[in-house]
Amino acid sequence: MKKIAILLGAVLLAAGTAQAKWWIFGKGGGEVGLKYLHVNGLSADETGRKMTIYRETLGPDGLVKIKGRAQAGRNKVGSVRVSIDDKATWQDAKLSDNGTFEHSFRPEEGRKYALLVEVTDTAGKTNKVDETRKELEFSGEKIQSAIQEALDAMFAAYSQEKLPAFMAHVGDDFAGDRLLLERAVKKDFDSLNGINIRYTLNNIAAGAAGRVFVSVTYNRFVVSNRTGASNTDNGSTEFVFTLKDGRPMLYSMKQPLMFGLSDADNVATGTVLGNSSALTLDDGGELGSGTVVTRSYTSPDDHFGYDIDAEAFEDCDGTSAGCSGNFFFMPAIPYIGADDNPETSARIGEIPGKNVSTVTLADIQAAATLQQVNTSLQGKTFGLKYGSNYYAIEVPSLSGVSPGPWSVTIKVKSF
Amino acid sequence: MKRTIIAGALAMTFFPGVAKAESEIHFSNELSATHNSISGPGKKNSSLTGGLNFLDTLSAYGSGSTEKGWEYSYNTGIKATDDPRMDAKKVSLTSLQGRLTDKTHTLSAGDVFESFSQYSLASSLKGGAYKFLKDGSGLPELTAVFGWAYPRWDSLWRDPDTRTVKRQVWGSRLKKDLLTDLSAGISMVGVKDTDRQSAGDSKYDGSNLTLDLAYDPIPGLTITGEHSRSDYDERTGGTSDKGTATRVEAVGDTDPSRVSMEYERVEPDFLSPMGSSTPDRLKFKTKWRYKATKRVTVNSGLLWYRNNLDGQLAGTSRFWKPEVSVAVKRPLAARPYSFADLSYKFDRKYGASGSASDHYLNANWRDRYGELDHDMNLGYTMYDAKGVREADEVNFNTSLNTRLQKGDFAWKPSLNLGAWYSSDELTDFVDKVYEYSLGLGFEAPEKNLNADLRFGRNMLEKEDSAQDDSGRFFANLAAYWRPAALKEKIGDSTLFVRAGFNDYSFSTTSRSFREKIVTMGMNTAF
Repeated sequence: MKKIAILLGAVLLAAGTAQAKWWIFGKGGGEVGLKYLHVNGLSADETGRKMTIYRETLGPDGLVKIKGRAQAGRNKVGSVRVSIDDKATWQDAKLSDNGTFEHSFRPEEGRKYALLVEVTDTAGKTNKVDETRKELEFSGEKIQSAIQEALDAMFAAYSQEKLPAFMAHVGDDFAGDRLLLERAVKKDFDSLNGINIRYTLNNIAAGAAGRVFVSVTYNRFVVSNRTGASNTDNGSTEFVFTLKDGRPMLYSMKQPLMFGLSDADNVATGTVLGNSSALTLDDGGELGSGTVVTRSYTSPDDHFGYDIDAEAFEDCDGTSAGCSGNFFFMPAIPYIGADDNPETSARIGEIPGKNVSTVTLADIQAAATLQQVNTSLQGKTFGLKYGSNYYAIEVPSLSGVSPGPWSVTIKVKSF
Repeated sequence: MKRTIIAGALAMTFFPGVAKAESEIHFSNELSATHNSISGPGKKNSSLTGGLNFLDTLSAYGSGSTEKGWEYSYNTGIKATDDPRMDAKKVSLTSLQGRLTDKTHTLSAGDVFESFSQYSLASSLKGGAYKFLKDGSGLPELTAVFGWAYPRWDSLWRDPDTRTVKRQVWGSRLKKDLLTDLSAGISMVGVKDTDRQSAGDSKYDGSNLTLDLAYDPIPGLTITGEHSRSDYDERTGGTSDKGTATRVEAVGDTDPSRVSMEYERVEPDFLSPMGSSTPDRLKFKTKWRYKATKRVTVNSGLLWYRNNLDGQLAGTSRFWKPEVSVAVKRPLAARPYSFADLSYKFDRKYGASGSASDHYLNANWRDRYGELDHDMNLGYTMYDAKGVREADEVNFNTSLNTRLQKGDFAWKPSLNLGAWYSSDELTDFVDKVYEYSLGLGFEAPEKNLNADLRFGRNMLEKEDSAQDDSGRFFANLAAYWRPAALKEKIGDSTLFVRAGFNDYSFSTTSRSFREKIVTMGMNTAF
């Protein structure tokens, strides 16, 4: 008998102990309470005490939906009540036999709600109601304003090289891995100086599960710590944000990257359709401007051409049918010409005061109106329209005398 | 009354034949004019457009319900600017979206963003979507979507300035709660590219079949997973490939610990044009946050990944990234507002992409002295990638700020100081960056007025005389005022003025330039 009592005591003690310690992440299953609670699809465990709800993230019926599952240990769940005015009034939630419940309400703009959930089992025991308290604020402000504020804060933190302030806007579920982004941004700060980025919104779309898609046009100026050289670029890129506690948190980015240039392959999880330029930082911290192609050539005579797709010079007269280049040089004259054989619509023009990094598509469209430009070429930038494609051509150096050889270096950027 | 009439007219336009019961509509508009003055021999390096430019963004959103119980909502936005650096188009549509629902059936048109899962569909479309969801019926949730993956609306009507590859997308998803704690979704997304813009553009024709799961076995533990199969043809290069991607994540969160573990395997030939993924990667990641006491929290983590999963590359690259940090509130008993954080991160890379061992050590201290808030950071980084980057770097920054309330006004002065020092072992040069800035904020809540002035200097000193030193002096002023009189006449409005000055100087003086920017504008919501 004594042995049985000792054995029984040991079993009971073990059972109680096991329940308390068996899984350091899990709560015990015997008390009256909530197994989970979701507000508009977001888990209450993942959001803090306060949550901001935007109009665009409400369901199509404009209601805030509270869903959850109550538990009551060995007993059954008798009732679930919900209060949204800090216990002033209570309403019964719709309860199923398995303990799942739901409740909806239509929020008023600018108003704050104190949400509490009371679970009562069939024996009359209730949960710790105050532990379920959550403050909800329904913001009539468009989510576009919240996204713009988040982007402003991110760009400001990145420009001022404040890593903690920047990472505060990156979600734990960042698709390219948050840890890799943090390392990459730190390396960006070690490689760059004088960062200045401006942007405007092109498109914003709020969708399911609190995700928001954003497309922006940007202009960027940076100075390289490694070489002291400066670089400007512009283009458009895309972000996706998720809402956590009502705050937009960065979920994913596409190339061309705004942040994390030092590890672009891992940080970006896609490429914007139709975008041809991307600023990059290599493993050594050197700055590159993506698709700007630099080529040098020594021509034996007075005329030579360049094929953009092949990224190669050719020693031929661009006006002949056998010359496949997009434009050609006659430095002895001097002139640069658009190769309109066979592309009869090819046109070229000088873009004064710009280099290949600062030229915009609009500059090229405005300048490319001539078949040839009769001007000295060294240090100048030209815009080329070839069919439906546009290019910027910069001639940083050109030397030689007629009838050749000529030594030339050019930079070409596609738009 | 006027708003109700406009709302009704728009509702009848978007949803003809639907009888209007009640509705509302709101507008917001921001108009600004900016004058940029750029001078100096190196002014072509500026990222600004010189002269006077304007920018206007107008948006409208509304909602309502019909007598037959249908709810609808819509929003649209337009942007207009004459600055090509702000936008390639003078006038463009920034958003267009409409929704109609009877709580079971939901139709969306315009900008649709039905994010199925990370690998399948995580990008917006211009098109339409249908969703079926009947709460309590036990039937699965069904979503179908069709559209074009254009980043902006101009691309949809083939505007020459914003043309891109035409990517047509269709997709559908079924989601069901299999058990009370287990839900599963299966989705199919297809893409077809046409209208290549240049000879080198890739054109994909393919599909992704994806299964995603979410499981909450016990309170505090969440397990999510996703598996996707892709099958595509790339018509420019003439290739066809199939691949898979798998991701499993478990998060356990109950005080004192929060632990997460993640496994991911993305094959090199996996492609998801509409999802988010990094191909050719096998990854394992774990993080542990442990609240040792009420004041001490320890964070640790490890990320490991490698590439070359199919052995087709010349070699494999492997990466280890462990990290640990300790955060202590009130480390000194006599300093009740003090906070200290010490962290160490290590990056190890070896294999085909070279070898590197980088160390990052960082210490942060925050405290309050009377009314003065202080934040100080000291970091040391050792980059050790043989022949690529071998450098010891130290960075330091500190900031002081406070708030002084004088009657109805508040002043917020601030000071920031920073320095960065890099000793490059490859070049044997030492480079330095110094920066300082002073700021003064002003608030007058009774007058609905706030302003901020900030000026400072940033200097890069290069020891290599063949490279340029550079410096930037900057000054920025921003002021915002919400006059009550405007609110009564036209709606909640904010008048603002922003002025900026940047002076970029380089050792090669032909590169130096100055920028002066003045912006004035008004933002109105009604």
